[in-house]
Amino acid sequence: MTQKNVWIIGASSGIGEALARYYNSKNYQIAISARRKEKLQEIASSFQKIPLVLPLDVQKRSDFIQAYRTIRSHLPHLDQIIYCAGLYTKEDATSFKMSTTRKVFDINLKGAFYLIDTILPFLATYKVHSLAMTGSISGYRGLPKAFSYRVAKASLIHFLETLKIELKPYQIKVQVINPSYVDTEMAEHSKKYRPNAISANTAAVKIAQGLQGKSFEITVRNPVTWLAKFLQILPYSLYFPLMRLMLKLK
Amino acid sequence: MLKNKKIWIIGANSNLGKDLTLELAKSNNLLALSSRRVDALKPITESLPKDNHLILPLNVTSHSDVKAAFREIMDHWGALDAVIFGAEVYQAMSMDQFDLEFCLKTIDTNLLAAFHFVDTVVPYFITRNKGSLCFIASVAGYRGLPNSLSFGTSKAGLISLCECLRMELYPYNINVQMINSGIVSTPLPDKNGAPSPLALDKDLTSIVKDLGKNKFELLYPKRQTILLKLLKMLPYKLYFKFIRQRKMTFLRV
Repeated sequence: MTQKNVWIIGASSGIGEALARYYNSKNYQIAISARRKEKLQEIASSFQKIPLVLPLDVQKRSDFIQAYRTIRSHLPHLDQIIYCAGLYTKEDATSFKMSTTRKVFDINLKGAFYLIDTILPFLATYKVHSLAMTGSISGYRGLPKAFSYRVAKASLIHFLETLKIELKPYQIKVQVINPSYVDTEMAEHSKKYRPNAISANTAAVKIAQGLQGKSFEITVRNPVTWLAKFLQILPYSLYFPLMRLMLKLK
Repeated sequence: MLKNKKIWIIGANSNLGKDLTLELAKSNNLLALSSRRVDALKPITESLPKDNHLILPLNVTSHSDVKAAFREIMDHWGALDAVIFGAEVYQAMSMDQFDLEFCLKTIDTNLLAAFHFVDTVVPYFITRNKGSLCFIASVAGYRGLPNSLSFGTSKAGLISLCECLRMELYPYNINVQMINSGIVSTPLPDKNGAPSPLALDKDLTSIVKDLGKNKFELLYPKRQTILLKLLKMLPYKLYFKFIRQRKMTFLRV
């Protein structure tokens, strides 16, 4: 069996960390990136195969370029890139702060632009087989709470749809991971009702399965996802009254 | 229909912004017109009566500029009834033309700037317990299309923003609307060999009539945008296949 190489961005916690641990258990060669270097090293020390530890702030273009240079010099190709970096804030449309909104967009969307800008010049000479990023079912349609986060995720899902079309000539498989509720550090901020929540480890196994497959969208198959999918195709004239009823809003 | 209102139109120099401005001027509204460059507004203001509009040059990506412009409106009129946000930058972009700087600019202008207006105007609308917000998005935001890297993405975010606002501002009696404009084209001519018609006058009239009404999404032009609405409901597999086979790309109107 040939060596499988995976680069995970946002690997210091949550789904990214769980995916790194999962791939480690499958004996993949992993490169892990995140802002917190100590956290990455702590994760790396527990791995059987020493990963490439590449600290990277997704808000910095130069960090991407540097990390990718290291990857290219250490790994002959990449089988999979997974962008898991994300920032969740729960504020709503009447209480948001512009500075927070900017940061949410930097991490959840603009970092994805930086990543594409970084890998693009080398695609002819340095092979990347698959690319995936984590969206969220909360990006499907507008709802109260998590105003900036929802909008950023809706944008990211769209960006991946575009990438799927645009990267086809480059023979790169593009996928979007749209999880429902997963118990992570990020979720601790939202102490709301979280039906069908699963652990990050369970999510990682399901996501890794999805990444093996051909479907563009990877979801956790559960009633919450089905409901979100159904609500997404409702006409607005039904959607808004129904949501107000379901959420017991005024 | 917005009549006898005080309306702030941002991006009044764009195609649709200009048409809306001229139409709204007909129904006795006071207009505050914003665009980045004053000279871009000249062709519009020349055809308007002198006393029915303010000109507020504005860089929408600057939060403080937006706040200052709003203060100026309040100084002049003492009130504001409606905001129409149509600021945007556009550049057709495929992967081999990927331009990071322009992608970032697109998000800043078309999407993050909209947050500036929400932050500036919504608290005022809440204290009045009324107000009207309309954002000009695009059918390119429904789902990914070829050759519109970053533009469609910014508009997908804008559509989501409108949906969120529609839900959240409902209790405050603030009406939120979005206009989705644009068409998709295939490189193949239709059966008669003629290009399909773009926006029509009646499409514009129908939008102007619906502004300020309790209708969330306004389509422009109506007939052509419906196709994309249907495509959005397809499973991804069929959607991508359809777009690829028909070689569909986005066209701005």
